Amino acid sequence: MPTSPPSLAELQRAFAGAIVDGAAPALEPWIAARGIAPTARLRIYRNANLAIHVDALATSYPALRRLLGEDCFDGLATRHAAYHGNRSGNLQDYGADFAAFVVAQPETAPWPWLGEVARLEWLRQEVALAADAAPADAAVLIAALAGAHPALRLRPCVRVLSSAWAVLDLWRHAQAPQDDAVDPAIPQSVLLWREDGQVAMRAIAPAQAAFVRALLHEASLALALAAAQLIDAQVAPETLLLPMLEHALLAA
Amino acid sequence: MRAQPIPTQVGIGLRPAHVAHVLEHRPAVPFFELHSENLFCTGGALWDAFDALRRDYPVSLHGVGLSLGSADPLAPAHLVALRELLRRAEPALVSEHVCWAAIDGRHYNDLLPLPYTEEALDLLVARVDELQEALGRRVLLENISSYIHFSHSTLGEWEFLAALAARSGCGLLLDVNNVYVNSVNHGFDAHAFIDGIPAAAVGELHLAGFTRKQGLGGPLLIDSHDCRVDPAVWALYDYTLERLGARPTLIEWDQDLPEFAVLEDEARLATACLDERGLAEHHPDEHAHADLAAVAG
Repeated sequence: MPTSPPSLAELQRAFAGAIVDGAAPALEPWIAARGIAPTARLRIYRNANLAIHVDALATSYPALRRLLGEDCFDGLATRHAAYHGNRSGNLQDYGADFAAFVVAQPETAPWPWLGEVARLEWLRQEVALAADAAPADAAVLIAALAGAHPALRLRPCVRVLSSAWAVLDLWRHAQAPQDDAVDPAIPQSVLLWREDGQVAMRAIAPAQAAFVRALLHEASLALALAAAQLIDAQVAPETLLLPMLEHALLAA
Repeated sequence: MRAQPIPTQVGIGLRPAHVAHVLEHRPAVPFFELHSENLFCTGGALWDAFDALRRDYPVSLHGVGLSLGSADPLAPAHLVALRELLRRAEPALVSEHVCWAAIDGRHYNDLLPLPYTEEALDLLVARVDELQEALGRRVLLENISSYIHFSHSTLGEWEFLAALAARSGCGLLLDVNNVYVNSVNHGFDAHAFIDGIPAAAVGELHLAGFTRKQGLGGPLLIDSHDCRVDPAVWALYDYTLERLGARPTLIEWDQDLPEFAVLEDEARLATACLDERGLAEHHPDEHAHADLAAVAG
């Protein structure tokens, strides 16, 4: 047995090593056995850690889990939990990078659109947890448009995703599979927001997505319009503004 | 909205899956406890539910992610989020755990055991000071269940808790199930643990279910929170009430959640224990009031 016990920091680093790699030879002499091998005691924490993080990913990515199948998803999630882990004490923060991780794994290479479904699911979580903000009405829009440098502020729950794949159709198919197969190779843009406490989504035109994205980056109204018209020169401002009022996307 | 005080009765740990049931049926539960981190978001359906809930029920908030015993410094963002949550939610009680969960910036999101050494005690006292200073109120610290005992510990777990409360001024949340689980896992007398806890520091009790893990070569109980409270824990709860007096008590169930009625059944059993000892306080006595006022800060 080593003669001097580990400091608290040494103990915690060794313990973390056991959680990640399954072994902590420097720590084991300082664990009371009482009939159970120290490695077996440490394995309880390793298994619990993997289960906690796999469950968290399964909660955040239910559609991806249905598309991949539970066994494949849990295998990927276990690998992510072991080698990436969380940087936050709030488990709700865990998994923001899971879409990029999924795309990089060899198992998912035949289905490159899976990462886009994962991105959509993380945005859904962001929308669900976003801060509350009272919606603005038409009067606010009119006042904003009348200003010298009109600007519109979106509610914190608004997100947009532009994908090279039919990401919303794929997500809906995962929710309720239909007989008709989804053609994934159709680009799709999705607007997300919160309505009556629930996450709402709809497919939108690419120009509309560019407009919303510009507003999310706090661009002026003129710049947001220009961003939309770079994609569709014919798009009318009222076409872009109507969904803002229809879904109460503007903040008061 | 002013916080409603926690009565000296039996509350239930409220998990997201039961929120809709509670809001619809408004069961006669004396108080609810929620995990703080579930409300770290600043809006959405959970906050709508929480706002509705606290209009009718006293609420306590129970943190699981601060990692107070870590050699890493406290995470500033987590501390700020907790302070903002308390400012908005105004809970009657606030609690965290005697544990660590993060090192070198990576978080394991679990309640990991500390060695009961003077070094760990000094660090935890400093962290609890920092926490109570940041929050501007007293907090309760809960004893955890554990599957590892470090042989270089120089204090018993109860001595560690008592010293933590005495030196930091924090209150204690005594989880009776965790005391029993640890007494089996580490081979000590659970009654001696209870006897070693300063009664005046204890602001709340927790009860939950454990499972037995087989095939390891020795006895091991897992604090699984997925079943009813074990008869041995009910007996220890009874002893705890005798030793400490009446305290707000919470039924916890986190995995394989049953129908809400099962939790209400468990709460009725705990209430019967309080009643049997003549301790159920629909109007808490002066002593309990004083303790709770101190704990609530």
